[in-house]
Amino acid sequence: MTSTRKVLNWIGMGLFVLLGVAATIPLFLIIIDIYSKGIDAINRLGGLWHFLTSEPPSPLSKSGGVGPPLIGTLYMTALGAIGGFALGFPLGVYIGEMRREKLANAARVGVNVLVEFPTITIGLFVYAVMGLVQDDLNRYILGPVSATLKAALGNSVFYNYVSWFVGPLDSFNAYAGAAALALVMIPYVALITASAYASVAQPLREAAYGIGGREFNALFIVMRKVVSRAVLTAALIGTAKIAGETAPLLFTAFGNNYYAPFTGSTGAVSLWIYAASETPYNVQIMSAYGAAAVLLTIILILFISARIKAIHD
Amino acid sequence: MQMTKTTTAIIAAVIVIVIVAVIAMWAGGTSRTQTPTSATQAPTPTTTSPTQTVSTTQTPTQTTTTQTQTTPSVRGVLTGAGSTFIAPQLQAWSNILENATGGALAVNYQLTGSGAGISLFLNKKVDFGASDVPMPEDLYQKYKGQFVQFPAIIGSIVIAYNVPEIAYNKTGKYLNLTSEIIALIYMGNITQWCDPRIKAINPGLAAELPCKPIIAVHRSEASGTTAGFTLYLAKTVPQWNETVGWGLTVSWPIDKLGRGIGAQGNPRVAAAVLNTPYSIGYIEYAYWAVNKKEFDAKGGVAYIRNDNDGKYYFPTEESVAEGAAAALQRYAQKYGAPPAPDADWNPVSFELPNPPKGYPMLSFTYILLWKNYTAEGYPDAATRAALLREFFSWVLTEGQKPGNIVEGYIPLPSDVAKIGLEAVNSVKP
Repeated sequence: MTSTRKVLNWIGMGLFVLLGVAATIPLFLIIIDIYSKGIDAINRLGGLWHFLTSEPPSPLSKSGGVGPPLIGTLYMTALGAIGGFALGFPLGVYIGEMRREKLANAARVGVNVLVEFPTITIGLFVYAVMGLVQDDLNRYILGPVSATLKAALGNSVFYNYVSWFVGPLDSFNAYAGAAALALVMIPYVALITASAYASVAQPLREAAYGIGGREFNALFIVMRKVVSRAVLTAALIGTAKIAGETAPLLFTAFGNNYYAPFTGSTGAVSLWIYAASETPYNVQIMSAYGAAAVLLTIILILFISARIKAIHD
Repeated sequence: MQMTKTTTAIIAAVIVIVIVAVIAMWAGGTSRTQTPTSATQAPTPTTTSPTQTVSTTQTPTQTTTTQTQTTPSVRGVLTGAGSTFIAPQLQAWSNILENATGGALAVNYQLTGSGAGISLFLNKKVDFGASDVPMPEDLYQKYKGQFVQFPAIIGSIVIAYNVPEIAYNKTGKYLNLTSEIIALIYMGNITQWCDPRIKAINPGLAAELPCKPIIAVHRSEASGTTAGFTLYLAKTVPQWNETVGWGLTVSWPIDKLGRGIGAQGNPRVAAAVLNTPYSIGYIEYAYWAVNKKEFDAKGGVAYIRNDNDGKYYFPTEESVAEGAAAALQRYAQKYGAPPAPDADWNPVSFELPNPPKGYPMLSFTYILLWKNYTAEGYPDAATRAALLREFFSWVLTEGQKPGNIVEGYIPLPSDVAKIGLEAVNSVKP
């Protein structure tokens, strides 16, 4: 009787272990495949530093890299992450801590829907908004601002640097890309923050409010100790997610193979992988593998630092 | 404690950004009224659009005195979009010219497909468009006189097949095909490789042709390649014209018989043919040329009969160029003159397939430019127009020379390039 149970137990456990292994196999296969092909490609295209800084190869090139797309990805991801966190975190506090309010409920539903949105529709939305505001934005804000800057900086070297970041916007630009990425990230941060705040033990919450301090202190100083780990993880995972996004950038950043101002079309590593893999030329396909390895490294670093942070705390 | 610092830092960063933005807006708002004279390039009241362009950076100091040419003293990256077919070639041209000008001029070209290229161009989202089909007639009438279009490179479509028994490496021979046989295969009337009609024109391979069902691979999305392929069949096979017709997408009869495979993009059609024994597919020359070894191992690429002179042509640079020249000659005879740069190029596009001699399946890839970039409301139009003129003048002259052409592309005959140069010269800042 007991032996049958034991056997059944082993079989059952065995099946679960198998399932667990089966779930992780694809992950390792992808990582191994991309790194083995990617590292080989990077070496053949001129070494790591050359690959990280030079322009993408044309079919006639012997070497090349992902310099401009990499800069674009880093710039847009950083801006998108700051924007996504700056809006997502307070929103999460609102729907997590003040869940009795009517609007908080509506916000929770909205965020839950937004998190399931196909990211390409977010790109389309930003594209449409850009089309509406571009002219006025350029005429009344960015045109005068860049004119003032130009006047202030004159012919100095700084002007050329500043003109990379400030100026009238093209239809496709890095800021539209960053806005789309921020919109993708907001619901992630908001939902994780909300559930973290909701999981704060009731006695602790009562104690926090009971001290007699302001609500701000109770929310952001006392309870933060409890939720900080989850929120930081949310920020890092959210950043990792948007770093690899392709769809929201198709209509917003558009892609660029050259170093060019962020106010115009901007490259992204994911966009270059997509474009290069569509060509028949080996040098471009190799650069796509190298680019995939670079992108995966960025994402793995973000993800692993999130895990380390979680374990460390 | 560490978390306090992080949070404080984040909050501080956000506050700083907001403050900077507010100050910048305030400064921008006041600068218009206070210091318009101090700025050397401040917006003048007459221009409604901002003066400083976005994708181009103007060098404020010009120290080079050795420059005697009229090359613009501007630097910049232009943006174009459209045809996936021309993308590798345009990227190569841009890289070569970028190196030649010391980084002063480059063209960022993104693959969106011909249809999206035309629409992005017409909506002024990009500086120029590229398309495998000319501007559609209704849009041509709407924007007539505002833009120019001209061919920049010739493409040709090849028929690749995967039949291990008659692979080139095994037999040393490529298959002969005619427009009628290709049409009948895609219509599902010729079902097997050992069909007597195929055997009749391939006496050398007749014994080896296997009695296996033919799988026909085609593009699944709207594609310029499909348009070129179906137009060729529609022009040469009346039965095809009546039942299927031609266009960027068509309803494939072979699909209804369950022997058709749809694949997205040239690379996947090529892969589908390579991975499916007894299949046939149409792909752009370049996608066959770079995978020639693999195709030769599993099958090959077909000689196509030109129905006008009855000869079989293998897709080579010479035979395709011969076809293009002959087709343009026929156009000039029919319409009395070679096509003008601001004319409707649809009739030209229609004349291209099935030329009097040469390889019969060919197409142009067109570049779309505005005639007047200021009138179209582009910021810093002068710079853009100057850069565009410089780039495309080079493309149509130096760019057509052998060292600057990517494998798989066919340079323009010089009289066609001349039409393009005329178009480029009519572009005003």
